[in-house]
Amino acid sequence: MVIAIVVIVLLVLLAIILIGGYNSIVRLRNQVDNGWSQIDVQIKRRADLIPNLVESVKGYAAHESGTFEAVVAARNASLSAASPAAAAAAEGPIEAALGRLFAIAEAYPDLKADANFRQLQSELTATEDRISYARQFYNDSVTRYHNRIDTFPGVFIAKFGDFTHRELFEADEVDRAVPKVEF
Amino acid sequence: MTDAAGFIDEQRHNRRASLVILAGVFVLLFVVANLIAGLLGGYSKQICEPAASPTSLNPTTCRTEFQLNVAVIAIVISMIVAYLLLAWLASGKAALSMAHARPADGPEFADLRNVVEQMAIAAGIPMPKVYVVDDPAPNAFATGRNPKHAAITVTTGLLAKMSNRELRGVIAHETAHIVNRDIAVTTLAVLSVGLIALIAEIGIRIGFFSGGGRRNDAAGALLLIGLLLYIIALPAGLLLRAALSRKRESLADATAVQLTREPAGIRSALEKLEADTTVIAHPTSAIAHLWIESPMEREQESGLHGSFGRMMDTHPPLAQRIRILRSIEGLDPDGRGPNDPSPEWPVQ
Repeated sequence: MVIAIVVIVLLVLLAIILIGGYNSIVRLRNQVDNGWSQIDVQIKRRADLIPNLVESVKGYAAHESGTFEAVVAARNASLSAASPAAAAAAEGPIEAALGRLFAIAEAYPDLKADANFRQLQSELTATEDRISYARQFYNDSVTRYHNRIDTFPGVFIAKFGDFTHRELFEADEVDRAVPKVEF
Repeated sequence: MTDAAGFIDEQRHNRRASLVILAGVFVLLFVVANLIAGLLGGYSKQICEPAASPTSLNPTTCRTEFQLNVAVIAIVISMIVAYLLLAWLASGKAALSMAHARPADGPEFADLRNVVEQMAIAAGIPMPKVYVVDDPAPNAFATGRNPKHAAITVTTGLLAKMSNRELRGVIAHETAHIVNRDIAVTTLAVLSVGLIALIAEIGIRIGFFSGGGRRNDAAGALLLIGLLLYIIALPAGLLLRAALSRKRESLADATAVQLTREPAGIRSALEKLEADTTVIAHPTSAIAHLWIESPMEREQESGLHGSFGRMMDTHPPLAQRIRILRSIEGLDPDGRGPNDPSPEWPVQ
């Protein structure tokens, strides 16, 4: 009788630990997914700013159509990136194209003084900061998730569900892809 | 990043320590609650019987027996829980109004809102509401029981004196308080201590004023318990509250480094706070533990400031916080600088 009670209590405790562990892994995985969609939100925010920015530069330097096309193409590519590696690869061209766009703006003092242009430029800078913080949060979430499913007891519990490793944003991949723009 | 493992260890250590301290606060409250329940007859019952022999001097004899009175205990515990719950729900708004905070809505605060949003993104929480206090003393605090109801408040003095990088460090520290659920933890500790003080007060008053009545024993016991609470429980609670708050401050510094990926911003900001001597115009001890730098402890530094004074402080000494950050950064722990020289913020 006593042994039966002890066994039942131990089984209940084990079940509580397993369920709790499973739920916390699911929460961490959801946080990774949420982190990824937060990056998407900021990428879209930047993509919405770019056409206006191009328009405002066009008003002063219509002949630089090659640069405008490169910016728009890089913007569209960044929107369709579906994995951290693809997003990091899309980041190089867009940084480079925006760098060229701002280099053009440097040559037109009227454009540089244009209130609308300055507003767009500062919004773009703020959005780029947000993108990098969103990536940082994504990487932090992935690391927390990996730590949980790679250590005891998570490493056992993770076998009960679809808990695969996720891709991290490689910072130097981004750095390598960004050519330096000389003004 | 010089030493990532350093601040993660620091975080883990702090988290464990504050759990122990919070448990201490609750044990204290539990003991107090049981004392009250016991006094109201929660554990004992007077049983009176007619005397065995009719010639006895007393017509009845009474004795006290141990008996659990669930109703009394339940009432005492539910009153304490209800008080803590209500005060907890109201605490965020109360702190904002006590600090004379107003919403940071104008275009002059666009950069501030921007930094708050960046740090919220880095921490993965919804953007907190942003408030300012018109005060030349540089300081900041966070309120809200969970990330959905959070707010960050800064003084205009902070905006005037900090560079963008330092402001980001300060905001990261406040965001860290929100992510680590510090406000909930410290608010519960503060309310528990407040409750112990309240119970002590009530006990002493009732005991003192009904002392002449016929229920002399009960009044005496109340007076005694009230005094005991004042002498032992209240200082113990205050010490625990201060220790808890200090732990959470160090933890928030460590998390701020994690969010900004650099110790330099918060370190440089703390050095500016250390050098600054302006004092908050409306220092309320009730919310002293919330600010990034204590608004209360300036005068203590010049007067007697022995180890007991430090035990009651709600914040670890700035020098100590700076030393930890400098060692993470690989700088001389006792040196100062480099600081971001010019405030990029338009001075109001």
